Amino acid sequence: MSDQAPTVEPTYVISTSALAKRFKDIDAVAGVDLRVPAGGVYGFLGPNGAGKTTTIRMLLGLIRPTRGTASLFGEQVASGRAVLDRVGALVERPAFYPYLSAADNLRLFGFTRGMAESRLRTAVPEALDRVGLTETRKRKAGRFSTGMRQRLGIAAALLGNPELVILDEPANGLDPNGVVDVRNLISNLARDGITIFLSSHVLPEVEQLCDRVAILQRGRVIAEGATQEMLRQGERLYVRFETAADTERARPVLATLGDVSDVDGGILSIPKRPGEEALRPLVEAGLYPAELYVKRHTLESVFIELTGDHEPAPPVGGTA
Amino acid sequence: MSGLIRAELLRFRKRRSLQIIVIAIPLLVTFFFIVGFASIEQPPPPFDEAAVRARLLAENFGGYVPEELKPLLDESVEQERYYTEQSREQITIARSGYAFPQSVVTVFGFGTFLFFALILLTATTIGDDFGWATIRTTLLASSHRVRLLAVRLGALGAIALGLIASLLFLGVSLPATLGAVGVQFPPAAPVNVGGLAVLLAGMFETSLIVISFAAMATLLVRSGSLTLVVMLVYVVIEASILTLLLRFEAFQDDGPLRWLLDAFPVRGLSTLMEVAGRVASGVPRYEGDVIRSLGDATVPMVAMVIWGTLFAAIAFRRFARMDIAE
Repeated sequence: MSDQAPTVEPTYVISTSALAKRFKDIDAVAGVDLRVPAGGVYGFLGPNGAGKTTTIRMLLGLIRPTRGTASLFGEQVASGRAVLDRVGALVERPAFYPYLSAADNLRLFGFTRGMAESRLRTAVPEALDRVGLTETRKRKAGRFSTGMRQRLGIAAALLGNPELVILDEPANGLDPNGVVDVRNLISNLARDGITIFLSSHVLPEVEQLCDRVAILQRGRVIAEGATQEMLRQGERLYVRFETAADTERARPVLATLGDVSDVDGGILSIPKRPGEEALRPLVEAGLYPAELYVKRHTLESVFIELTGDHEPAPPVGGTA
Repeated sequence: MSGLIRAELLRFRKRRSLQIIVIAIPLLVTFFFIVGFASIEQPPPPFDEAAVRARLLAENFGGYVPEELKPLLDESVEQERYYTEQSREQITIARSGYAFPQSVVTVFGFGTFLFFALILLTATTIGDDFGWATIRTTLLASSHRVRLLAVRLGALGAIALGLIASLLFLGVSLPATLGAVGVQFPPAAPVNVGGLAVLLAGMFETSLIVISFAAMATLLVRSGSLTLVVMLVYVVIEASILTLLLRFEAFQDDGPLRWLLDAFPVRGLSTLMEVAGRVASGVPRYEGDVIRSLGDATVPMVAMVIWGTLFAAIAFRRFARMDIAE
């Protein structure tokens, strides 16, 4: 994972402008602006019902936006546009013809994609092998477990060597080994130069994989940026005192360094800064903290903090 | 485009229920052809005047003096001769409908099975994609919606064509096969080639309209099984409208607007097949039976083209613009 700081005008693989979708009286997506650069893994996060899948469906031409535009590789998305042929996608629970075997489902998908029989003869076994379904290639998809269907969906998304792969909850229904396999698969794809647009609830995975993330809530992007930058912005310095009186005396001292927050257990927090910088005014005021540490934010805590669905997670990380 | 055709072929080759529907048509037609022929009684033996006269005399004419008896008996014999000959003629006509070449027209008379099969096939192939949500998978593979639907409807049209060809084959081969196992057919009148051509064209046109309607209905309700309900409801609505219109003189037998009735889809299809079938056969079914001219098929034929185009246009528009939430 690396921060991307393009020095030239970046090429956006995905770009949306005020993209919106209204279902009857519900704004599922209420004006999303996205810029996904080429290469790397882009995380697309949000709580349930935030509008992630609807946005993805609009990107893929499955749903028509109520307003706004969505473009892939600089070309506006619409049914029948050739640009969609450059995209592979897994959307929600993948659906397959239950009476066809895994291999036949992929052949059917390949034919529909315009791939020649001769190419499919090698591409289908390769795709099945990539997702670990070689042994069950002849089994009918109707008899597949959720996890196996998910793997088959990923195989279908990769068929035809797309330049952009959109994965909506690829780890759904997968066992722990499957989750690791998918993570490795995504890493490998990104290494091969394929842009991955990943929507997932497995935030530790996203944190490990994604170069950039966008967080969606109630149909709007509420945060977007490089993952590391986002994590850094959330980091705070935590100061604990032995007595409540010291804590109260320390509050105005710390307030000179930034906004002070109360954390349970008589702990105060301020925006992250070097320990000595915080320690000096405290010592000058005759205050000696029992503990001083930086909370290393996780994407999960950033997500929870931003979307405000839950209380923040307890701090983790080492003392400063 | 060839990839889409290959995909349709693969889907069809592996879907047993579709194959059963297709295979059922020739089987059902064969069954009903044989049962239909077997259900026609044998014609009565040629009229034997002496035997009839003796029977009548023994049964009904006791107590008459000879001068009264003769005219009464003669009248009864003549009456019986008339009924016997008429019955022989009607039964012979009915049986000759199963002999080649009239057998071809008779087989096409079972075309309703074909149309039901096409409704089922269309509703199943399009509806399943919504039921299983595979429409999403298909559209992720190719976003060319118009092309996708065109290929699918084209495939159904090709199946219809194949089934019509199989009916033609059955019309030729069934009398020959039955004849080979000893079934006796009376000689059959030749068919009217022009009428047969219109009948075949009408079968194909009807097939396409049925496919278009079923596709439109399935796409509108996003379900194969609901399509069957929609079609049933439509038939009831059309029948009700026709019943209402027939209360007005203008729509009755010689009314100036009677032709309009044949512009309704179900009634039009029925008229088209009836007229073309009768002209192709060329044989009156009973004394005084008037065979309508092929010109009577013009209104339904034109109306059907318009309906078919309309149904297909709605289906394509709907599919091209619909949100895939499945």
